Amino acid sequence: MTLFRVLSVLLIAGLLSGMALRLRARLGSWGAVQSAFRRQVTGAVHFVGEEGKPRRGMGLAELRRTVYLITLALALVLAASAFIPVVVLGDHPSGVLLIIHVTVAPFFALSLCLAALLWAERMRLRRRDWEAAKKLLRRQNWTRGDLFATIRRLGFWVVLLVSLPLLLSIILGMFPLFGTDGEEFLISVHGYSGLVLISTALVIIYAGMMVSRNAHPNASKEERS
Amino acid sequence: MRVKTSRAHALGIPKTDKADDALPRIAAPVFVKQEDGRYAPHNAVWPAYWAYRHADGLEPVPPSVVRPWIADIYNKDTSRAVGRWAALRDSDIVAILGWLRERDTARGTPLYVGGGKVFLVGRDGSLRAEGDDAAKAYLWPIAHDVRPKAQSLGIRGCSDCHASDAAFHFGSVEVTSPFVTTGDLVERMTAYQDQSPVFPWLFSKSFLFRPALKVLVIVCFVLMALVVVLYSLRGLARIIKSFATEEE
Repeated sequence: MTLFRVLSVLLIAGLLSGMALRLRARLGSWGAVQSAFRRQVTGAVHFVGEEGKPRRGMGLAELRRTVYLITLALALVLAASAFIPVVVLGDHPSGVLLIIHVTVAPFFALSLCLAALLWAERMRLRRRDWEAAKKLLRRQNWTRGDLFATIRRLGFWVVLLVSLPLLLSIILGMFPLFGTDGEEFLISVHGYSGLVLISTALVIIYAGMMVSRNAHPNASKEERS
Repeated sequence: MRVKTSRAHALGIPKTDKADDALPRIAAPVFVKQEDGRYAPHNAVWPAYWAYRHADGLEPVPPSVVRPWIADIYNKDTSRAVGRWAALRDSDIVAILGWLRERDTARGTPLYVGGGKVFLVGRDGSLRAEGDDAAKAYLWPIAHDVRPKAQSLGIRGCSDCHASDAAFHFGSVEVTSPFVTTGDLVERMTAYQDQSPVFPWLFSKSFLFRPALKVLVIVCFVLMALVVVLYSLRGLARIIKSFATEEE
C-alpha cells in the first residue's frame, strides 16, 4: 500500500502540476488557464445537458461524443473514490467511497465498452501518427495538432489495453477461485491498472485542451478534428 | 456465543467445573479488524476489576482487598443467592468505592471496571459510567488464525460475509458483567471493525445485483478484448503488407 500510495501521489500530482504549468506557460496567466478550463467544462456540460440526450434522429457523432463524456466523467468519479482514501488516508477504499465506487463501476464498464465500439475505428492508428512520432524522435518540425491527435489516439488504445486487466482482476475477484493472497494480488493489479488508466485519461484531457479552440485559438480545423 | 477453552477453563483437568456457564465467560467468534487491516475471528473476554485511576493510568486493586467487603455485603443480605458471580448493585459499587477511597486517599480515584465501561462515584454521590480503553474487551485470535478449509469464510461464496444477516458484520456480541444494573449487554459486531453498520448493510444489499453485474462486466470485458484483438490483428496485417510492398 505504501509503494502504491507513493506512486499514486507522484504520478497524479506530477501530471496535474505539469499540465497546469504547461497550460500556464502557453496561455500567459493562471486566469487564462482557469477561463479555458471553465469553458471546457461548460462546453461539456452544455453539450451533455442539451444536445446529448438520446432522441430520435440523434446523430452517431453526438452519441459518440456523449458516450465519451460520460465515460470520462465516470472515470473521474471512480478515480476520486478510489484514490482519495489511498492518497489521503493510506488505506483501501471503504464506507461511502467504496459504495460509490462499486455503484458507478458497472456503468463505467458499460460506457467504456460502448466507447470502444464507437471510437475504435476513428481512433485507429494511421500512417500520419507514425510520421508524427518519427518527426518527434528525429527532432524535426512537427505540427502541434498532429502530435496531440496522435497522443489522443495512442491514449485511447492504452486506456483500452489497461482496462482489460482492470476488469479481469475484478471479474476473477468476484469468484471464489483465489485465496487471500490471490485476492490481494488481484486488488494490486486492479489498483495499478487504474493508476495507469487515470494517468492516460489525464494526458488525453490535456491533449484535448491543447488542440481545442479555446486553449489554442490559432489551431486549424484539421488540428481540432 | 460463549465458548470454553482448555486453558481458561482447565478442560481435561480432574474436578473441573464442566457446567456450560462456568466462568470466565468468553464470547466467540468476534470478527475484529486487526492492525494489518484484515478481519479475523477472535475470542473476547471483558475485564471486571477494581482500580485506582491516577496520572499513569489504572492501577488494579487485588481481589483479596475487596473480597471481605463483598462477603460482608452478602452476609448482611440473606436474600441474595450466590451464583456464578457475586452480582453487584449500584449501592454495593458506591459503598465499595467509598471504602477504597477511605483506605487510601492518595492513590487516585477509585473506580470499578466492568461491562465495557468504568464506573465511578460522581460529585452528587451517584454512580457514573464512562468509556475507557481499559474497560474494552481482551481479544485474541482463534486457533492461531488457521482453520480447516471447510470452515473458512468464503467457502460458500460471498454471502458468508456479505449477506445482510451474516454474523460477520451483523452478529451480536454479548458483553458480560457481574454488575446487575448494567447486566449483560449486546454490541454490534461492527463495533469491533471500526465502522458504522450502515455501510456493510448497504454493501450487502448490492449483492442482490451481483449476478447481473458479473454478466454485464464479463460481456463488456469480452467485447473490449475482441476490439483490441481485432485492431491489433489489423495493425499486424498492415505491417506485413508494408513489408511486402517494400520488397516489390
